[in-house]
Amino acid sequence: MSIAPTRMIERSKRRHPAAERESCVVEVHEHSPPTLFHSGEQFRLERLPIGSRIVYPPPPLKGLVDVDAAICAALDSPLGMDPLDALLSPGMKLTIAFDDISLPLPPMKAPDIRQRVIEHVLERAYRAGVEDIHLIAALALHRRMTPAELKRAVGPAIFDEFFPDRLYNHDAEDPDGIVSLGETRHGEPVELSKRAAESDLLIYVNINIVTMDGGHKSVAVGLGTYNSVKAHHNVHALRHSRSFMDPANSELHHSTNRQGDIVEAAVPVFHIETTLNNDMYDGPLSFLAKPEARWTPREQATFAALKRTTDRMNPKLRRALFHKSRAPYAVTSVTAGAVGPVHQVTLEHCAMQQAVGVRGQADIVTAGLPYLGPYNVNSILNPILVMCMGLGYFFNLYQGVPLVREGGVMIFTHPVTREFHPVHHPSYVDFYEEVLATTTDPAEIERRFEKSYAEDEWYRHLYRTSYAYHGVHPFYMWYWGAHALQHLGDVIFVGGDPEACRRLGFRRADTMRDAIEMAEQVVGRDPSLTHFHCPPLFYAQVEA
Amino acid sequence: MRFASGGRRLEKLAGANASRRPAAPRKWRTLAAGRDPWSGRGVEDQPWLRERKPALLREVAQQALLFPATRAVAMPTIVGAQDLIHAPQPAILAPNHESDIDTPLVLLALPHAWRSRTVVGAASDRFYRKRAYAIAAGFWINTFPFDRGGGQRRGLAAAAAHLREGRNVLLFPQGTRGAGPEGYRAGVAELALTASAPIIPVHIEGSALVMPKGRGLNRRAKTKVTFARPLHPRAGETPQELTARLHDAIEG
Repeated sequence: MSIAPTRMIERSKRRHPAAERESCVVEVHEHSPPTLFHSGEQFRLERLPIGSRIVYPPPPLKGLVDVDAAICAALDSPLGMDPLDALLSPGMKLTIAFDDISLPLPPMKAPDIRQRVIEHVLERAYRAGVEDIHLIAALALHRRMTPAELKRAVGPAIFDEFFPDRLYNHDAEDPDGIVSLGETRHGEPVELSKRAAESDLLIYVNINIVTMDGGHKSVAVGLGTYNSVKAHHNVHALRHSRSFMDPANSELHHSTNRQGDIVEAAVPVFHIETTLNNDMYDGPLSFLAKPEARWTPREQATFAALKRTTDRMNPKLRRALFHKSRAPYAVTSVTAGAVGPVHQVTLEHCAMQQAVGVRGQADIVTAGLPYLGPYNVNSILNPILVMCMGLGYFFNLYQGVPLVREGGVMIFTHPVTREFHPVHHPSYVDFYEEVLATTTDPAEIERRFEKSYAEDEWYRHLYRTSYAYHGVHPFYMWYWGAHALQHLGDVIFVGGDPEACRRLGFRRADTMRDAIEMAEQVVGRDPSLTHFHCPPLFYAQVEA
Repeated sequence: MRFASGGRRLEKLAGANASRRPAAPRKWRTLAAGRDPWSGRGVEDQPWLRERKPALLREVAQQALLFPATRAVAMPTIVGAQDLIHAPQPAILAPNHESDIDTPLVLLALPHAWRSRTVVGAASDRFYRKRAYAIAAGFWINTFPFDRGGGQRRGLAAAAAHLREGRNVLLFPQGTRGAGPEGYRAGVAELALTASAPIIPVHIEGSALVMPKGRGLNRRAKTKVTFARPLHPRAGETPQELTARLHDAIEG
């Protein structure tokens, strides 16, 4: 077995993201083909004005040749901690927490990287004679994972052995399962899963698909409660997270780091972070990640067939098919050790795959919203999640300054339909009907409504026993876009449902040309336009 | 502002973007207020369908297709049809009307001696708008065009002519489907008084579930067709009085 650090056993030479950034930003000229826009479960081809820029995601990196060897190497030579074998001893209390269903997007083909890492960890734990082992899905205020989803995440062997008594979902509302660890120096309460807090070692298995994830956010948020999450999931923190995809400049992350320090003082945390490449389209659809000008005739025909099929398909069937798709992600890094140093290395790997340099902001930024976000795996992307996808995620996928200038306009394509998953998103329905009918101002929403939803007994019951998101979750989705709402002059949805868009406080247009004309009235004549060609996921490093 | 114009082939292949606005429909939905003044009969009566050969063909088609299908979906129980041999012909058959399946139900319940001599009054503004509809209705259920409303009694005159020629006439006294027990009109009674023909009240139960108004075939259900004793118009009776008796005989 190799004991080389993870970074040394990649097959290809490490790429320099800077070298690829040049080709990822393409200018639209007279003979450019129409541009692909995702629009929920459909695709659109839109013509952009000549002179616009399109920011494409970098091509997928090559994965590790031997993932098992990389995991072993990471566990044997962790950063800032003793090797895992030295931390394990007979009779100890070991808790393994792992990321929930919201990662990665779309779910990866089996075997899941969580399964592979946990298998190695368990093997070492058994070898060391550890018997008291619990596996917890660190889902914070997300919905519980179904047994089938747990089985997919950890693999059938581990599932059969541990489920349901030693493999379970974190319950942030369990009065007997939560322990308070005190407060940070800023007065943020830290509450944690009792089992995790009282363990002799807490191992966290993470998938870092965006730079927001990982680090102290994993444990402090994933195993936290409403009280501890409230400290940073609020309008003030999110408005001062510029952006929350850039941990160094994110109020959200500063807060979770402070909480993480308290957690680390209470229980030793062995953090295992993994990164994936952005190879999210399988087989014949891989061209969707490529610039349209590079599509071959065969790929063009495939796209035409795909678009015509999805346009004519029954919406329910189409959704079912889309949610069945699994991504052939490759693992690009496995790093283990103390939270801080591990996360630094992970962020470097993320940057290598995802960072694209862009010079200068734009008046208008366009983006096509896909069918899937972190909170609607096997579910429905309801209007509030659409807002969160657009203004929460897509807007915040920057480092430095936002891609769109202050007072600029973002144009999204999505058929914002008023549809909610009755099991997964019960509080969203009431949020949409009650709260958004009153106001769309995040600060006012936080002040007037948050507490009653967060402490609602029925939502609490559904969260604990059914598969519902916590009652307060739609509020966080709205706060997620608070920075964007403050920054932007207008938001336009092309093809959006008029009633739903109005309820969300946005405008809608039938075609991209209409939308650009509407945007011109806000930002002035002859605006500069940049298209953010996501997914696959990437982020822009924008210099003003 | 100029837009990129390359990639025409791709755009053509992939088709237009899905739009929330559906294409203009071939027929616009309109709000119906009152009777459509333009909906008069477009086609005249098709008397050739009552001649011997078409009538024979109709009998075969009804027995082979229409009645088995009706029996399958409506599962009728028939009461009092055998007593019709004692009833005088020609007569007016007057069932209550809930559904389009009422006519085939009554026809299949009638004995052959009655059915072969029965014509059905079909609303000319519905069944005689186009030649194809008229021929289809005439062929399957032996209809004649009945002009509803208008105060000119044209429909009643046509029905009276059929009675004079010795045919039984099937007319729905409510005039339309789903008018309810309060919706009986005086036309049938007027016809009976002027033509001095007996009325045979027929009660149909449960057909609204099989084929409700405004929907196609809904579900299978059990129905019941009951023939009552013939009502003879009395001397000096007004149409309203006769209609009241008819109402009691059907709904009572």
